[in-house]
Amino acid sequence: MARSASAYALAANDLLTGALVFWSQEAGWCSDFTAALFASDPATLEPLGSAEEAANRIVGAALIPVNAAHQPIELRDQRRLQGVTLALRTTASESQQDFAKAA
Amino acid sequence: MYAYDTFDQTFVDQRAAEFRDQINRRLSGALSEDEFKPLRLQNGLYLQLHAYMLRVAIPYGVLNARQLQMLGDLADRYDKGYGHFTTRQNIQYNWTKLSDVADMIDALASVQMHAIQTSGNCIRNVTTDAYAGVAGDEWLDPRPTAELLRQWSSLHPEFAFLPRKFKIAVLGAAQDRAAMKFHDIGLWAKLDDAGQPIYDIWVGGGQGRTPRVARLFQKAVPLADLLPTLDAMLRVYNLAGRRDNKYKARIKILIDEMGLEPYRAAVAEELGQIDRSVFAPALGEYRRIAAQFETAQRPALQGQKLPQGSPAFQAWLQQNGMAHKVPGYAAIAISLKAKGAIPGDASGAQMRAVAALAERYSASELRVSHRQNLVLPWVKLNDLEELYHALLEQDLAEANIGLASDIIACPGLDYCALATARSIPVAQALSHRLRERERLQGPLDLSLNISGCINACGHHHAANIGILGLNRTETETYQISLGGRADEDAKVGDILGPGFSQDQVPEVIETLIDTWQALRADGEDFATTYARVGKQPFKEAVYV
Amino acid sequence: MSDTLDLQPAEQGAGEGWRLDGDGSFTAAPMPTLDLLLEPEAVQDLGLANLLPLQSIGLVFKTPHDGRSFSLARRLRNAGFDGRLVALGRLMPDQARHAMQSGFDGLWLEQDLVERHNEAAWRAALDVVVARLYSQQRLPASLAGRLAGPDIWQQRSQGQ
Ligand code: SF4
Repeated sequence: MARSASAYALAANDLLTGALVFWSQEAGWCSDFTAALFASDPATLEPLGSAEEAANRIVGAALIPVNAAHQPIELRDQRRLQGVTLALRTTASESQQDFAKAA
Repeated sequence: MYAYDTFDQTFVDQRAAEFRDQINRRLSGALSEDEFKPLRLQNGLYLQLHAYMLRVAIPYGVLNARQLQMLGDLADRYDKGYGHFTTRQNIQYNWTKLSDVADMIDALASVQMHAIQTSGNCIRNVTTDAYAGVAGDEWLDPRPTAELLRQWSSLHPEFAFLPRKFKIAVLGAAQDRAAMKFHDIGLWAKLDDAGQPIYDIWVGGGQGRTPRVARLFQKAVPLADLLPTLDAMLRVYNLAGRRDNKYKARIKILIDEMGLEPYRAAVAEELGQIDRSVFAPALGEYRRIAAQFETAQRPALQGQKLPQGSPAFQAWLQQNGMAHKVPGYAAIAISLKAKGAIPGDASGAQMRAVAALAERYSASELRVSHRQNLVLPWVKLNDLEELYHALLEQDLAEANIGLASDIIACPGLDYCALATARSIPVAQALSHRLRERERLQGPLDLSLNISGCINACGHHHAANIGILGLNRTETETYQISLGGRADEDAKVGDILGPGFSQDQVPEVIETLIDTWQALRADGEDFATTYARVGKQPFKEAVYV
Repeated sequence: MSDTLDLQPAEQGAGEGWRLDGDGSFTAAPMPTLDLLLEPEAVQDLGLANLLPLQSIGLVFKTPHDGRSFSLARRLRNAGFDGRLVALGRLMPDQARHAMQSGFDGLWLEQDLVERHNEAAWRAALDVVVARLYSQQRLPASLAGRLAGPDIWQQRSQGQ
């Protein structure tokens, strides 16, 4: 388990959509990390992950260690929660204009 | 081009039905994730950080306009409007749903495409030179061999659960444009004195944690012996390759540990047992396939002239055009590396636009290159200027093929479940800087590749300047290597020294380029300068 | 290679299970009587030549991810073994095709594995698969139904 973790959340991909989901305080899966259940003892979440996998609702259950402010400690989780960090589409327009200027 | 007959069509249709059944059994719980995983991987389906990712095969990088149009449609219909062309002539959709995948595969089958063996511990999509059939330095079109291998390896019952993935590349030209020596098996096809195909077989190349340049296994293997030899090579690997540690499971490690000579001996013994009659139809099959590619070749054209055009047109032609084997034509690469772009990404609209251009200007034919660009292989010289303007309209006339800003990058930590750092934002930042530099200084002759982890899908080991994203104490850190190359003189790059933060990378790369420019002899490319001067001056410049 | 090979007959009738044959038929059956039951590592030690005279061999799959026994089956067939070859262990219905096309006559599966995948999936194991490969190595004579018959390259060369 991660050093200096104050608590843990349980993350997974939804089986059907593959979307990133978290075990919520309402005892279901949610997409909002702030609504996730944070447990100080990972042992309370691990069996839940296995049971939910066995029930074919999710896949790839994994714990997210967090600090006291409930921010993920590990880089991979930080990036994953951030979502894709770039503009999804770019065009060449800007570049073409530069080259047209140069030509 | 190769067109499916009813056997091929039945084959992909049956496979699509089989995978639909497997998905249904997964959803019902009859297949656990552990069981489903190798099955979905063999159909190109990954589970990434944010969604499922479907990797579609573009066998040996050849596409027709209708197929590219379908790829664009799939991007719009099932993804977020774009797809990502990879270094192994595949396209990936990053946002697919498990519930949509069977329909996507059916749609692909309707245009003679599939996702078979684009992942998994099996023989992967066979790759080749993006200029196959049109390159001026080619002595044998590698595509018939690649198609023969596609058929032979597809759903091979014995080699579907190998110790690890297995990649094959085929070349038929003097220049290696397919990173052949970084494949588990590389075939360098030539012609014997009687004009028949023979193959130099290279083995044990690969990147990842333990990069290796392939070693020559056997020279001048005749076509009749090719499949029996590959069959024996794969069987020895399947039985003797390590299964205790996935990082030591590739054939390169088997060759390291066993030794090339003992491996050769084991293959020879295996070959002695093989029932060669099984492979006898391969010769006729090769001729049948080759005939299809031959009839698609075009005769020389009279009256075609290279247009003058504007300086910008000339610069584009110079950089993105390639001399053609057939007089009257040029092969034109379309860069997917505009300034600040995501390397290899194309939107659905762009794919449809390029498909329309291929229909109009390139006999409906296209290629995907291992540097994540597209190629129009059959453009008449008289059409070049018109094509250039059509590409300009679509924002697809970036003139940087083979330059520093033609960056290879893998998806990295923005998408990939295995990543240790992001690669795309680094590529984008560098692309801005380098493209600007190219604008001011002219072409920068070097290759720059980025991987988001040691698996090296971004081919960083094989780049003149390679960047590897690592996680050091929960911070993205980038290790730089120099002097790698992916061509016929393949070489693994040397690690420069301690890594850098993401913010530092552009500055460091510019310093390396400054250093090269100060040291280079007239007209020297980066690889040549590096081979001459070594790592030290670069190290001194960067670690002051 | 040992010429004093002490072949221990496999434990007979050790459990209840099911057999899947090369014609797709699926029937409840006790564990088959086999001359030898082998895990992949053991084959290397025994030496191929010692195995050829046997009537029946069972090859074990320890996990569905380990494909060595497919290659062992092919190696045995290539070497001329024409006895009965049975695949046992942790296979999936989806791998029944691989087994038959690699030279096995059939599979024998323990009850729990049959239940795990549903009996129906095993019954359909040879139905919803790509039955005809481009290039098929020699199949066991016992194979019948969808998987039997000439491969695609043979059919093409015969103009079918
Ligand atoms: S190199 Fe690593 S991060 Fe990049 S695609 Fe491959 S596995 Fe993912």
